[in-house]
Amino acid sequence: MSESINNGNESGAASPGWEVEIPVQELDRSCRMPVLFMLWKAAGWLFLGSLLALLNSVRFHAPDLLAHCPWLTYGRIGPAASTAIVYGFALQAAFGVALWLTVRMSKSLLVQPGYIALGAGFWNIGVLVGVVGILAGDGTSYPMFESPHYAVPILFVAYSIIAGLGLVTFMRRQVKDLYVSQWFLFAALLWFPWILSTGSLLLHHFPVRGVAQVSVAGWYATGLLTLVLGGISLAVIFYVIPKVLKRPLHSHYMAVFAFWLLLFFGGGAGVLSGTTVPAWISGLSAVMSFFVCFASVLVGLNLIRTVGADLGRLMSPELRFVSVASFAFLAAGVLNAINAYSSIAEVTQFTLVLPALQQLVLGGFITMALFAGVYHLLPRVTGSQAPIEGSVNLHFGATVLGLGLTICVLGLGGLIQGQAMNDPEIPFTAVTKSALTFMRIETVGSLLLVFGSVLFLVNVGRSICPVLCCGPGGLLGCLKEDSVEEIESAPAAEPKAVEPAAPQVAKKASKKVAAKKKVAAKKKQAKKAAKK
Amino acid sequence: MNNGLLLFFGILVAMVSSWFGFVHSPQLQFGKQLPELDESTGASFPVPRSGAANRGRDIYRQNGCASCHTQQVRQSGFSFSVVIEDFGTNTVQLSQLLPSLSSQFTPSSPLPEETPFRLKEGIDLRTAEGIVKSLTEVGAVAMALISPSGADIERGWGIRRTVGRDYLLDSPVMLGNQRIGPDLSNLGNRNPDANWHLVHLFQPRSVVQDSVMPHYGYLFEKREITGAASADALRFNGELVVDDEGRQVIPRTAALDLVAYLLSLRLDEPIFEAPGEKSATVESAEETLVSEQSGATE
Repeated sequence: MSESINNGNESGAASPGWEVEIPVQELDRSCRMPVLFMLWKAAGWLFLGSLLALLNSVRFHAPDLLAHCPWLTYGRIGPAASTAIVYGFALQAAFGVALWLTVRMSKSLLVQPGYIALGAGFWNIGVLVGVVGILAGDGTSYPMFESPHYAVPILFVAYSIIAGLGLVTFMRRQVKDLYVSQWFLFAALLWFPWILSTGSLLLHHFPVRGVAQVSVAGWYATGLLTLVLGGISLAVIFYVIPKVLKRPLHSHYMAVFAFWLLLFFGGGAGVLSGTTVPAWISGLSAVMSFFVCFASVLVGLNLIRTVGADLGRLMSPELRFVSVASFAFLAAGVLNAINAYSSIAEVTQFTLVLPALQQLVLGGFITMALFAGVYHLLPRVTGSQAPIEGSVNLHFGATVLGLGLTICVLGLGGLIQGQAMNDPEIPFTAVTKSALTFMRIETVGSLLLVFGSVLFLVNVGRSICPVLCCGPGGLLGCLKEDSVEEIESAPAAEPKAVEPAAPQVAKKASKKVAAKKKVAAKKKQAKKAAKK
Repeated sequence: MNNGLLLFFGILVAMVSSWFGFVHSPQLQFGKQLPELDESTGASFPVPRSGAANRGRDIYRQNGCASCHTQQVRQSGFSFSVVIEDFGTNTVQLSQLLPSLSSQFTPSSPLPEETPFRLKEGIDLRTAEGIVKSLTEVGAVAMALISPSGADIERGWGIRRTVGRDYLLDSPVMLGNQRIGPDLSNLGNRNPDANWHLVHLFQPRSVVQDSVMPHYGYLFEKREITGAASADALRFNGELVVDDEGRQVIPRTAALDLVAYLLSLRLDEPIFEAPGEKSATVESAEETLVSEQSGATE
């Protein structure tokens, strides 16, 4: 229930009823290494992906830009950008945030953080192989599932390590009551291997026949967006809002109802009515998108009731991101349901409206929710100051402006393009020309998004850097504090093999307070000097 | 709610049911579908692609052509037309009847000389059947033809909508969902000139003024001209195509394969699931081609 997150306050005060209560700091520290590693890498992929997306956007001003190089042709850069953003950034950041949320809500230490970090390393190798493979011409052409067949097993193994240990952590939970965020996380973590293995087997290795591929690929993409990434994003939203406002969720049952609606109807194929597939597939997709819309409205209402009169407090950094994400989720649910209506799809299909809607889901909802999660967990996991607020606000501004511009311009352009396309009197060149202006304006949005991704990289880097490089309790300090000091004092020491007494000195030093550390090191040096 | 097991089974049921819905059922429908064999002609549909065209499909996939081009044609409905195949012998009664059916005729106007003669277009099925019946009564041989309608079809992108059967022999199926460039389902029929396509791939804006397609120069080999130009070098309207540095341009195998694939894309065969009218629309497609030669993006 809702209280299960509210009693996990920052001071780590024991909640009554549970014998073993691990302090929150311990919990956070247990996931420090893998989570920070994932977030850092995710921020890097976001930057790379945004940069590639910008390159493709610029091509509508200069079609022949870098066209002489097969690796950089338009049709390869697009899928590479989307793979970098979806797999490198979104999924990776989602896994990182999901692990931390699991640890926090289960109140159990993260199991085997070292292996999880290893899994994250594999994941990054998998994404890299995928992106390079696409650029080399091995892309599969299925939207959202473009990685070549040889990259998918790497991703699958990496995922199994990360999610498997995450699920073990979940099984060892100290809090038996499940909060709704945990429901979403659990569903997302189970859904992903299911679609990934199905996609890999039935599209790459034993491809199904004809347009059955379209249905499978659509099912994969919708599941990935709505249930895996969407599920983790909703978990973040349901966690962060009550947590920061320090008040329980308005209605647990409303949230649970929305959960089951999304679970059963969110995995539709997302196929529009004019697509060349048997009509029942697009019909079923349309019905399902209606239920998803209903679930979105439920979630929206629930959140609005939760926030209630505290609307003014939404100005805190992570809440700003969360409120944009919630709004985008609601808007996407409603717009997708409208778009599934056949007379609307007649106009919007094959136009820029589709990328606009995808940007609304992936950028507006998922990415913003993940940003909120990252900014919420960074100071807690690093145990240091929150990222500079001005910089976070700048990131927020640039991203929201960029997304807003991109979505509006593409949506509007798409509608005009669709109207023109359905009028056979207008030659096709004129149809594309009518949309071209909008695609050109969209470049500004892409530029803002690149700027936003740089700021995100800087903000994450700034928070992680002190932990990585210096300061007490660094990455290496996931072990124990005194061992860190041992390592710190080591450079001052002479080669150990000569000095059997040195470790003892170091241990002594570690017991002293930080201020006396230097003195101890000096003494040690002096001793060594004396012995010599 | 603290029952993790119940949650797990709930999720499992959702996963399995959506898998059956969107993965298993479509495969049940298409897994055993075979190409349609026309016993009278021995031809099968869909027509298997040549080796070069199959390799070309791979080039199409590698370069992500599907991100800007669809291969699916929609239709908004049907209209019917009446065609008289034979006027019969009872010409007196027929010429009395015709003015009541079509405004092209007056009681005194002579019967058209050529058959089949298209009497009416764009009418609904009931009207068409009524006309056919009254024509049959006076001894003429007439039939009602079905013709799909819609913007895509009027643009000449196909004589009918595309259906699942069209893609039975293709893997991956690249339907595409963006039309930055035109639909390619019927490209082989719309523009059967392989050389035009090669030039278009090499320098899109030299043949289509406002095209936003990037050039695919890497599918071509540039060679200095020593003496006479190579016989394989790219020519357009009899003139040698050269690159910026004045070198001759020779299409690589990849370019030839890609064009073979593009030319193998045809949507001109009516089939059971999607009836259409072959002869008439091929004519109109050719007309479209002529009008498009001047300025259309590919």
